[in-house]
Amino acid sequence: MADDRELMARVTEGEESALELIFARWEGRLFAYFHRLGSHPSWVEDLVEETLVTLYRRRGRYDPARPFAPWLYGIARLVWKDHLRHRGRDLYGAASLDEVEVMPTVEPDAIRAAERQEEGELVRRGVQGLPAEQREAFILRHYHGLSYDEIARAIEAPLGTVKWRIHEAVRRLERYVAPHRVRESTE
Amino acid sequence: MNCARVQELLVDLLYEELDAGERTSVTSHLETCQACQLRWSRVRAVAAAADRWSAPPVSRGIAERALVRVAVERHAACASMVSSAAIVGRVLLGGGAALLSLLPVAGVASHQTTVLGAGALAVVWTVLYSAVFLAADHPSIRGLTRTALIGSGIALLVVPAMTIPSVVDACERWVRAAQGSAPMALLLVVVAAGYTAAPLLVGALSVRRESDREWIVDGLKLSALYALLIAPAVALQCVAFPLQITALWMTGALVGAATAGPISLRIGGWLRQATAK
Repeated sequence: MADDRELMARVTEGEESALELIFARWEGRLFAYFHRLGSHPSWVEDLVEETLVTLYRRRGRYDPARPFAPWLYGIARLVWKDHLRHRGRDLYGAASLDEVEVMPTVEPDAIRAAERQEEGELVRRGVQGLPAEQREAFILRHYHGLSYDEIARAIEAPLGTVKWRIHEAVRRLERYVAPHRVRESTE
Repeated sequence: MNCARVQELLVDLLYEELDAGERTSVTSHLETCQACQLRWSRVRAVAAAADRWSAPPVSRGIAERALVRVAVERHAACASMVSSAAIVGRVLLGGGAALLSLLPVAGVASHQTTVLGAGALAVVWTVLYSAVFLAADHPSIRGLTRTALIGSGIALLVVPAMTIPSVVDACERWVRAAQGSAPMALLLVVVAAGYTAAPLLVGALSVRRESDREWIVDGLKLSALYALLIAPAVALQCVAFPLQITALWMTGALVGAATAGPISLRIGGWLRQATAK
């Protein structure tokens, strides 16, 4: 199967099937990315669509010598920032982690599946309660598998800054998640 | 490796960002240190919990909609491909614009130019105008070329004011003074910058642009287009100047044109945001 760099080379040459392949390959990941960043559900689809179209418009600027994912997430980030500038709001339905910490915890359910769902909800609140820059770096590292170096390229920040943001995000999540887990396990 | 250092590296261990040596040191330490083991288990618990947050399934049809938009853009780009008839049309339009621009400029500098010089200027200007009119056909740069044309039009409208005899006398005295005085020379640069920047600022702020996402890049493109259009006028103004004055005036004009593009787009973006609120 052709990798993203090969597909982008074919996109640049005007091959439509390569564009279809790359759109189909990345729409799911971009959807998850914007969802996790905290976009309002009704805007996620528009953000993904805008990112894909921008990918096409900027195809000539892609350097095949560099990895594709950081370049695309860099575009997604610009689309997200532009969206925030016009909407004037960071997150949908999320509070800062400090506020989240005083929220009542979800009651444990007897059914394991429900517990897992609750834990997912707990983490969602935790991640979306992180400061925007830490949230962005953590999501790219944990959920999208980008290395520190690739994240630094995607968000145009120094490597040390990226590393600090991820460390800090994990530390905050640790402080937030651990008490809930202990509470649930003792109930 | 001590506990503090190991605990600093646990997140990097989790995300496989350690080199082989560091990884060996950290894992060896973890085998013997209960406090670090506890912290390591908490870090892994966070990662395990984070894994339980799954994104909802992707909505169907997003890629298809994006492909449709791309197809529409491709079609529009093909439609705007310039035919030979359109090229002739733009060259004629460019020639007309060049002649129109020559009227005010040649008026002010009639004592400075020969018929041959004016003819050469008309040819150069025709080429520049034609190129900008052709560029205006491309959707991605249409707004910028229109803005540059408006800015250069405003700049040329200001030129006839320089034919007023008292203004001409004042300019000549000023040029003589600038040759031996650093403050006067600096003032000359500032005035030249203002002369080129102000029309572009007015032109750009009068045109509504859809996005200010790339205001620096777009602003520099705008500045470049504008500089091409007013370059002949600025060059003609310098015909009778000594070399030193020409260099000062050209520098000021260039700085004014180069900065006015990005600044005007940035201000335009702020104004739009303010009015949207």
